[in-house]
Amino acid sequence: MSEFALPLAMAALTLVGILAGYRVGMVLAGSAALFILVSDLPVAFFNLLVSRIYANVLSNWLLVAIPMFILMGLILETSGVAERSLRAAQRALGGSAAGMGLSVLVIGILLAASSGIVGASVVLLALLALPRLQEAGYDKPTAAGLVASSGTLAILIPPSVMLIVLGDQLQTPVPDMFAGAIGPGLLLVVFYGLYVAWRARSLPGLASDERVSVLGLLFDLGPLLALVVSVLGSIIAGLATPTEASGLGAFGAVLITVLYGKFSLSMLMKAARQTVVTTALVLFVMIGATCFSAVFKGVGGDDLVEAGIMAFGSDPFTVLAVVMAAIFVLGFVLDWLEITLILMPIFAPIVAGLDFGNGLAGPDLLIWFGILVAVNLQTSFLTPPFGFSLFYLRGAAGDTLTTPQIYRGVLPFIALQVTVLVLLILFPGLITGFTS
Amino acid sequence: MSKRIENLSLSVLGVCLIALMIAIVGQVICSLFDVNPVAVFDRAYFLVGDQITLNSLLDFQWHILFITGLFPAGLVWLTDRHVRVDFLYQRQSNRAQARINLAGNAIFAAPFFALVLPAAWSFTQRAWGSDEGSRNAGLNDLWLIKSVLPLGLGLLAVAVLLETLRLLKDIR
Repeated sequence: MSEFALPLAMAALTLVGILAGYRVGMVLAGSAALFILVSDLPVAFFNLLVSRIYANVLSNWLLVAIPMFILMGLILETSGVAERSLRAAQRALGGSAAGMGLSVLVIGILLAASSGIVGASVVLLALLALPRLQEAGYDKPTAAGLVASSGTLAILIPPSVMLIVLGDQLQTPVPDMFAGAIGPGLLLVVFYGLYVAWRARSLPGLASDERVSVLGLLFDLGPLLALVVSVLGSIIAGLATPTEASGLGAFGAVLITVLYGKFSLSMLMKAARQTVVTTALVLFVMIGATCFSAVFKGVGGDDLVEAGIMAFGSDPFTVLAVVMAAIFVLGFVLDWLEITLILMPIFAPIVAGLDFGNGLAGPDLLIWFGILVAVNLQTSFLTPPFGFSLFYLRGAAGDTLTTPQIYRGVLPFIALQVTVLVLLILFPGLITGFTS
Repeated sequence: MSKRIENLSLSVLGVCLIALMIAIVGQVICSLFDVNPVAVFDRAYFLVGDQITLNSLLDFQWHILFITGLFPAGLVWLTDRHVRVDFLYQRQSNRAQARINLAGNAIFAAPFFALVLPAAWSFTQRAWGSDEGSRNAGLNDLWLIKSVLPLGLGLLAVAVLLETLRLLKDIR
């Protein structure tokens, strides 16, 4: 046990620091520094860490895609383009109660794919769709659950920043990660759609007050759809690297605002300044996590985690179940960014060495595992009491929703997600069928 | 005053990001039409050397990431926007929050800066001493971008110091 004293102390100190609410990036970087000082690792170890910060984070060309995708999403949100398409889809599908629910879902997907920012899409959906859903006769919990879970798809549906970071950590090609997330994303959408239609089965139809012209709809939805499809398609088809597609995507978003007459320099600058802040805080956590994981491994932390997991048994599916359960539980308190950056370097080598008897090996195995993690992390956004989407929804909804209503509303959606996760584990083809 | 510095630096970095977007679009267009090098000069200039190649544009992209990712860290610290897991933190009184931040600065930030600043400084010095340039006909003068590392971390250290002084004054 004494061999594990240092890594246990390091994990404990880090957890206490994070839960106390101190800045996560600095907790990670600081405990790395502290444990270099107290362990027998040489102080010169920090020279190595600085080289890693430089090579793996700051000069990592792949990560250039992060600010560009954030910029693309913020341009669409700040300029009001996202709102416009939501209204258009509502007009088109809003004739029946089920149609209204499905239109929220469809727009959730579009927003998800174009912004990749959970906070932005949940808040936007809540502001625009909650009142409409209640007019259509949905009970408050169902409306809340639909808004939260559709908006949360942003983190899973490509191009998502989370999949880029996951791919970077697992050293799997990002286009394959994007392709692998399509099947699970579609499956979730179909399940959500069926559930919403079932909830809406006894609701009366709505009086439609305006005629919808096909041309008008095409004009309102077409450009956004084209942007999403071309960004995603060019990455998956291998025509553009994720970084190239992200820059073109941001530029495409600018063109759309010009098309709608919504472009202004102040709008663009507002989006860019917000992107600077978001990028800086994402990279700071990455810098901290880079230090942390190197030192944690240096003091024997990977042996500790491996021993902890193997204590439940060495059967591959038992190991996978333990890993998934650990990620799910940690997801109650930690953000996807911390979980991905801290745990993936430790879990990935363990999982990579397993044979699940499903014909997956090497990169395919890691892509499958990575997408499972992504779906799992997505669920953690929705899980009471600390799911981030629930906070965003509560904040955006103001007094119209109570916290218990939100909790009750997301439970069916969480059940659907867990079902999908189990399906993905049993049928890896749902993920790997879309990759090259 | 500090508000104006914040506004100005965010705007400058925001413009950098827009330049990044344009650089990516330019790079894609140039490689589509096989334009390489993009520009050739009759003498060598600072940073770019005697020609701008596609690799210069690629290098420029991660240089921007480097700058926008690291420079604002101190600013984001002072405006308290760095990621916190705050479900317990936000229920604390102002005084308790100040104590958490002071303790964090002492336990985590102080040892981190004690180790990282010298390491980052010698990292840059090595690049300067060997006159390190791009390995693939991209941008030269790699020490210049590498010096952002000690500079950005140094600014962050100043921000932490300023916050510590403010918290010490508040808590009394």
